[in-house]
Amino acid sequence: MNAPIHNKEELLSIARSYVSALEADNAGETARLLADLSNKSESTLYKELGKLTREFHEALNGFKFDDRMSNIAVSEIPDAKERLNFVMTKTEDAAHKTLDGLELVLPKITEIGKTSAALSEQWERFTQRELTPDEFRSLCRNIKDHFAYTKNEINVVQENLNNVMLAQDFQDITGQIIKRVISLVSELEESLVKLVRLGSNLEPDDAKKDNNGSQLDGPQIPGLESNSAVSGQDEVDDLLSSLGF
Amino acid sequence: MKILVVDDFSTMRRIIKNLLRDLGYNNTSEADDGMTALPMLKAGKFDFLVTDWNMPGMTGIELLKEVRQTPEIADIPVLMVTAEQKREQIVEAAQAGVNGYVVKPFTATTLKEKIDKIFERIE
Repeated sequence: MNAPIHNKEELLSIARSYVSALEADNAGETARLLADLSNKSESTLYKELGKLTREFHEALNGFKFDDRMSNIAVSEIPDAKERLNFVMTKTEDAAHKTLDGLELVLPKITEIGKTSAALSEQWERFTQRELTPDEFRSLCRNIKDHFAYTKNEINVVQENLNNVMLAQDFQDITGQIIKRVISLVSELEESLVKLVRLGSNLEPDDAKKDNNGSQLDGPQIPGLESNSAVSGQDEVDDLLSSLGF
Repeated sequence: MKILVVDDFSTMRRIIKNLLRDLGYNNTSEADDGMTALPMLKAGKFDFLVTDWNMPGMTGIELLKEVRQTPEIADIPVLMVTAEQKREQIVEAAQAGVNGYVVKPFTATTLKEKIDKIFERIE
C-alpha cells in the first residue's frame, strides 16, 4: 500500500496556514507551522523507508540466501565445472577410440578390395581360357589363400567395428551429466532474475541478448542462430566470392 | 610438402591429418595453439598452414596476422578450418589474407576442394 501516513488534505491545510502566517508576517506562527510540516514529511519518509526495508528483508529470506545460494557457490558450481571437464575428456577419449578403430579398419578394407580385384582379373583370364596350366595352379593356390586371408581380416574388422560401436557409450553418460549442469544453470538463472528484479526497476525481459558483433559465437546451434552468421560452406564460399576470392 | 595443422582439440588435428594423408600429404606436423605454432612456422620449412580459429592462447586469426607480418613466412598459404561462421569473422579472415575458409562440420570433399584450389592459384 502506498497511502502516505499523513494525507494530502492534512498537509495542504498546514501549508495553507503557513502561507497565511507568512503573508501576515507572523514569525512565530510560520516557524511553528514549518517545523510541523517538516516533521510530518520526515516521519512519512521514515515510515516509507521502514516499509521498504521490511519488504527487502522478506524477499531476501524468500531467496534462502544462507542455504541454497552458498551451497551453489561453494560446491555445485565447482562441481559443475569438473563435470563439464569430464564430459570433454570422455568425448575426446571416445573420438580417439573411434578413430583408432577406423584407422585400423580402413586400410584393411582397401587391401581386401585390391587383392580381390587382382584375383578377379586372374579368374576372368581363366574363364577366357587364357591361363597356362601353371598359371591355373597358381590361381587355385591364390584363391585358397585368399579365403583364409579374408576370413582372418574380416574377423579383425568386425572386432574393431564392434569396439567403435561400444565407444559410442560415452553419449549416455555425458548426456546425463550435461542434463544436470543444465538444471543447475536454470536454477542460477532464476536466482539471478530475482536479484535483478530486487535491485532495479528494469524488467529482466527488457535486457536483450547482447549481439556484440565482435564476439566469437562458436558453432551455430539450431534455434539459436545468430542473424549475422552464414549457414553452411556454400554461403561461406558465396561471401568470399563476393569479396573477390 | 610440409603441412602444419593447428587446433586445440586433439581429435580435430587427428581427423585433419588423416584426411590430408588420404589426399597424399604425409608430411604433417601438429600444434595445439597459435602460440606453439608460430615458433614452429618460424623455425621453418612449412609449405602450408591449416588452422582453427578459436584457441585459448593465440587465436587462428592472430596467428594468421602474425604470419602475414613475418617476412620469412608471410607467403605461406593458410587455410582456416573453423566453426566460426559469422559474416564479420569471414570478412576479417579474408582481409587478413587467408587463402581458404572451411566451416565445421566439413566433408573430406570440401577439404580437398579448398586445398586444391589454394594450390592451383599458387601454380
